[in-house]
Amino acid sequence: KPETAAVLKRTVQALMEKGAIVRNLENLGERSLPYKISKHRERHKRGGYFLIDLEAPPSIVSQMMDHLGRDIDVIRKAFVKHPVAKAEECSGMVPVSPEEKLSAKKN
Amino acid sequence: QPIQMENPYKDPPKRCVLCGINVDYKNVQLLSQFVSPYTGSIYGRHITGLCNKKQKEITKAIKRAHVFGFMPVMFKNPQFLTDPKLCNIKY
Repeated sequence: KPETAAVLKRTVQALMEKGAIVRNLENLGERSLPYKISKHRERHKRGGYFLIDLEAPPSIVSQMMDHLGRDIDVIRKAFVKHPVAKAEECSGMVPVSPEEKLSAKKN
Repeated sequence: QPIQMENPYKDPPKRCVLCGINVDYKNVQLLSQFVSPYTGSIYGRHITGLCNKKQKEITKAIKRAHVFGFMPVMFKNPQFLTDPKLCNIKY
């Protein structure tokens, strides 16, 4: 457990040095991983999940991915944009007329 | 003279199961309900019966959960096997 604390401290310090504002740090618990992940010459079965809320310029992302990739204790890293809460206007399924279906783009 | 007005007997628009629920890549239980328990593949729109937007959101969230290591890929998490059935699929 002191190792996880050290890892988090290192990460947050690196983030602050690059100029990111850390808003919140959540612990999503320690559980067994859904599949065995091999990283840094080791096969991992259990891991701790942490979520860091931050505001930062986008140039930081590549630098941080590099930095976290070199850290042995970090199994998997990811950056995700903040979901803009917009789900209030869900107005239900509007029936689509057959003409619209024909003229709709097929992707 | 008949007055022109909108059909007052129209039913309210049909809502899908997730209308109004925020979809997140973190709540694996919700995401696992739209995944096959045998192969772990995501069900199509004709099975889940979701609106356009929600189906897209669910697919994106499931793919994210796979990559980030929240949800297993080849099967459904056995913890969530006894969840209520949302999709109309016959095994």
